[in-house]
Amino acid sequence: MRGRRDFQWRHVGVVFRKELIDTTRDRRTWLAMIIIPLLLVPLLLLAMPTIMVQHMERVEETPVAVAVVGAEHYPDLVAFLDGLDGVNAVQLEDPVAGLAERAVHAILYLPEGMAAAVAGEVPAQLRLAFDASDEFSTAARDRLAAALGEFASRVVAGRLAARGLDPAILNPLPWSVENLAPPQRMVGFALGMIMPMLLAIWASTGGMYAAIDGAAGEKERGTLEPLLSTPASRTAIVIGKYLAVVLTSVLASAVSLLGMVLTFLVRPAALLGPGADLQVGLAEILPAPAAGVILLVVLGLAGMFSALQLAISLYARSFREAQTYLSPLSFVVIFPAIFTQFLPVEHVPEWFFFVPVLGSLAVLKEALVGIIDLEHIAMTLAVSAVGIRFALAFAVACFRKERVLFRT
Amino acid sequence: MVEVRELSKRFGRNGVLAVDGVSFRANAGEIFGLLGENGAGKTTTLRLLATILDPTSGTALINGVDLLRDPSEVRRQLGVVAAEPGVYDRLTPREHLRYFGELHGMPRPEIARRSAELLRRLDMEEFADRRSGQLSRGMKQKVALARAWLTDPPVLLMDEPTAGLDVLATRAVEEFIGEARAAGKTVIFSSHIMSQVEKLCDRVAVIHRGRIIADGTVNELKSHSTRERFEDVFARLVGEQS
Repeated sequence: MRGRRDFQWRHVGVVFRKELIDTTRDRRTWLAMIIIPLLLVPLLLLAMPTIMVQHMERVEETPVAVAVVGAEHYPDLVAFLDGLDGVNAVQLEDPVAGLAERAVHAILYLPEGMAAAVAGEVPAQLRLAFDASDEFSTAARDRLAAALGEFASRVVAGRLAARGLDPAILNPLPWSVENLAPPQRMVGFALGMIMPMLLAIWASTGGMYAAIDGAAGEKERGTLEPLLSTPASRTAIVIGKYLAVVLTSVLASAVSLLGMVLTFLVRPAALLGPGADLQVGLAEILPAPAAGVILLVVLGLAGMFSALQLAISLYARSFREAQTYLSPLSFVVIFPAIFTQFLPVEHVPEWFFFVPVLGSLAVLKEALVGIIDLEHIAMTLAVSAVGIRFALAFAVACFRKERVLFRT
Repeated sequence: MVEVRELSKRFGRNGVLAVDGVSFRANAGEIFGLLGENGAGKTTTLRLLATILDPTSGTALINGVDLLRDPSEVRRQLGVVAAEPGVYDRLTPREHLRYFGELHGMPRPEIARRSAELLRRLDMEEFADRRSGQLSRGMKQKVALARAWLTDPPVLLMDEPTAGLDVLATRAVEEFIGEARAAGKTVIFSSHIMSQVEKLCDRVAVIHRGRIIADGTVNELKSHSTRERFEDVFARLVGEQS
């Protein structure tokens, strides 16, 4: 009886505009909608790898201190190690304690009669001790293993030479590796790992504060009653609020996409790893069709979640209660996102595309790798449309339920 | 004019009757008081009249419009003020008036003109463009008054509009109610403060446990003894019920 007949699009527009003004004046929305989505990707892609590389360089540049036990058994090896750049062979009374105190990074045990064994071409058993809980010690182990290998090669080369043989006979199959993936595919692969998750998360939570403010917030401040006493129908009020929440969510996703594209334009190596020195333009990072598909899928996700968030936060009695109810909602996105993160695009099962959220994530992944599969896109959008239909009907029903509106 | 006919409201399928067959009539140019203790059914009655709640049975005519037939048109006849001012912290008073004016379908220039007039009349010009979150409770309640008057509605519903206000703000509200009567509006005013009802209202209905147990002019209710204090009248009426 009530509502439908009184519904006017003019009221939708008035509510929508007011909600946007209200939202843009809220610092929380700015933080959740613009600043965090914009900065998260650059931080993840630029700062984190840089910090990691710097750390690794520091580990590599630290000279390895190795305590040699039984150095007198084979001074040649000790001299060889000590002569290497960044390796110091030392003698310690209690090398195990020295390793524990991190005075040395590793302990090398030389067996008795080692010199004689090497000269007599009998295997000499060495022992290398390190501390796996210490990064520097682990790096020292690798350094020393390589150095020992090199020394062994020299010994072998000497033995072969003594028999008049060419050391090359020990390596009958020299080989090299080449990566033939075009840079664009590499870009897509790297993007397909993280961007679907981030886009989906912002699409589903970017408008959360707007939703809470527009429903639980109205209740808490006592503004709901005057609003419901205006000629605007409840359906018009919900749809106006809903559109504002959807816009906020889509904006958050768009901003996070912008952060990603900017990162890429500034430093392509951020995603492809150091050394991948290629210049890519916007057209390679985000071709227009992919951008279009992403927008549609994000709209679908935002459409479903905005309505759910409005309905749930209307049920809540206060802003804080709404926050408590809504936080678990983001897991609905995060779990499938983690689940699909490492799934290769080619191996996504067909049934994914019939499931809300899961299908959206898969299509986002495809689009970022450069696959535009119309069937998958159509299926996912159809599923989202059905989801929106039900979620919105649920939100409208909540706005008409006295038990929800005046829950005390 | 507001004519309430056997209005009832039950919350939940087997819940209590919060409003139980309430009937009364409030005329234009008259302040009609709904007097009752907290939880007596005052707020529910006013919410039913504002079409925020659907009645379980009965109906009411608001300025001749049946609230069951055309709730949207009923809301067009109403200005509503509640105990809670109900303002948006991040909008200014002037923006509040614009928002509600637009929801009522008023043209922009008229909203601007009426707002300026009301802001002056209610002495709000100084804070008209400040964010409402910074305003005092009295200032916020003035926003609510201006909002209710903006469309010049024939009927005003006021639910304990002076709750939590200081003396000066209370006076502003009372003056506002007086002006509404002078302007020929029908004012339905709920309160649990006897002296205020006695001072302001032309006629009073005493509501207790969702039912109207007495109505008439203040003097009629006092008829037993003209020297009886109004508070004692109320206590006697309620006492007779239980």
